[in-house]
Amino acid sequence: MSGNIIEARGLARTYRKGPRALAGVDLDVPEACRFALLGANGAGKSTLVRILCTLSRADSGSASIAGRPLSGGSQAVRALIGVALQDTQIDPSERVRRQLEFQGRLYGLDAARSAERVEELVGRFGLGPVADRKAGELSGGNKRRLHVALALVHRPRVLFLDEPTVGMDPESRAAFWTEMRRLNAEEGVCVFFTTQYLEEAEKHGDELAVLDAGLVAYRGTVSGFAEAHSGPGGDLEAGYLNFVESRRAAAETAKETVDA
Amino acid sequence: MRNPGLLIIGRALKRLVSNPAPLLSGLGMSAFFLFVYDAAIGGIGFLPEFGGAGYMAFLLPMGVVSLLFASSAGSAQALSRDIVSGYFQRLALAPVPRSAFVIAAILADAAGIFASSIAVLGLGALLGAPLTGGLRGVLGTAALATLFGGGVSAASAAAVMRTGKVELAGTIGSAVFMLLFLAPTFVPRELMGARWLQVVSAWNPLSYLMEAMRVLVSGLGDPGAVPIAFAIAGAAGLGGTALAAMSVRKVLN
Repeated sequence: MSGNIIEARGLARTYRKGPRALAGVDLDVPEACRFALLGANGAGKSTLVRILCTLSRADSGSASIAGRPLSGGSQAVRALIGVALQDTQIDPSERVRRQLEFQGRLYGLDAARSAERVEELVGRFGLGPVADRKAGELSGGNKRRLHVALALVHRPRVLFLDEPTVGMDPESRAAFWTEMRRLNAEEGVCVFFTTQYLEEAEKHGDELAVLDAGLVAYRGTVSGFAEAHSGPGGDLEAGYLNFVESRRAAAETAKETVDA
Repeated sequence: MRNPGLLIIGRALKRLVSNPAPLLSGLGMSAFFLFVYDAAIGGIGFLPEFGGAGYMAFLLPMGVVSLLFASSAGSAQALSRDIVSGYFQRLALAPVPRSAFVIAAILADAAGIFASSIAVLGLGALLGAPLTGGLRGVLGTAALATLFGGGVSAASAAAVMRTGKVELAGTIGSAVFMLLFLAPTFVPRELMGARWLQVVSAWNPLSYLMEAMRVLVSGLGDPGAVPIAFAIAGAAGLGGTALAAMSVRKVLN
């Protein structure tokens, strides 16, 4: 093992009748870190997450999770990861507790262990008052809590979160990140998240990558990125905006050179 | 229940029971057709071409096959609900073969069709059809309906997964419904008025299905139709299920 829980080499993906989403992504993510994946809309963040969590296939390139390759061994990989994509993935017709229990059983927990784990998650995510209600009847905030709880039932080693706090009120957002930090610190879960909220990346990420036009344009620590692009003591948002602006200017200069 | 396969089938059956509309509408349609066609043209049952067992004995396979139009849409509808809600992606992230979720939905449909077929045969008996084939004939007929219906169900599920269009859930069943009128459904082939219809019915898989059911249930017709019908139904069931299983990736990519 290299100490990286995620390793990707040359991942590329072009959608049929669509743009090239990934143009050859190389990425290493160390064990037990909080990793922020940044980039503008259309930069390829969601495509990369979908490939890493085995929902989509890359046209070329390779990747592994905890040393297990995505190609050919995706069931083994799926046992190691938890995923909460941007849109909630819950069964609206099933009750909260039963849905969580089914999820646990699907991952091989026996009935007793599954029930025990579900009670723990119901308590941790504040779902107790709605545990016997159908998921379709829940408020938006509770649906998102259930969505994340479902991703955690089997105690994954890597948790993929795609824009996890979109639509959450500030209180829920704070509680959510408290739980993510606890998972990372106490259980060693690698929390890999995409976000458009740069203050979240700055506050809750310790490493980051910036995707631009389907490639990794920057890879390093959050503090290192902020300092490199907005000066000492600068914040991530200022650094990110400077970085994006300098990339755009470089691209325009390159285009003018080619045109000339 | 540690086996994830059983767990997944259990969920599919539970969903079938909690949403029985496709099954009930299939049963309602079958009962309606049996009543109406028997009332409308049952008087021709005395003709020697009907084998002397009465028109209901001849008509009864139509009732069983009619079940499939609506009942076979259950799995496609259940998968559609999972796809639309996004829950299918959650299931697809579990460490089990993804095709298991599709196959479980098809098996649930097949179980429903098997039970409904026996109910329709029971209704036919109440309406005067002699079930001279006994339990073996009843189970054989239900097995034929289940295999073929499973294939229709699987093809419907594949259509929904490949196109992403939920409204296609019932289209394959509708296509089968049209085939019913191009088969010896109401009269034997030799009594069909148009030569072209006789030719079409010879190519229509439903012809062999219904003729085999008549042999099994009431002992009417050529027993040679039975193995042909099982071959057709088996091919439909296996082929449809394979197609549906291969369509899972389309939903995700």
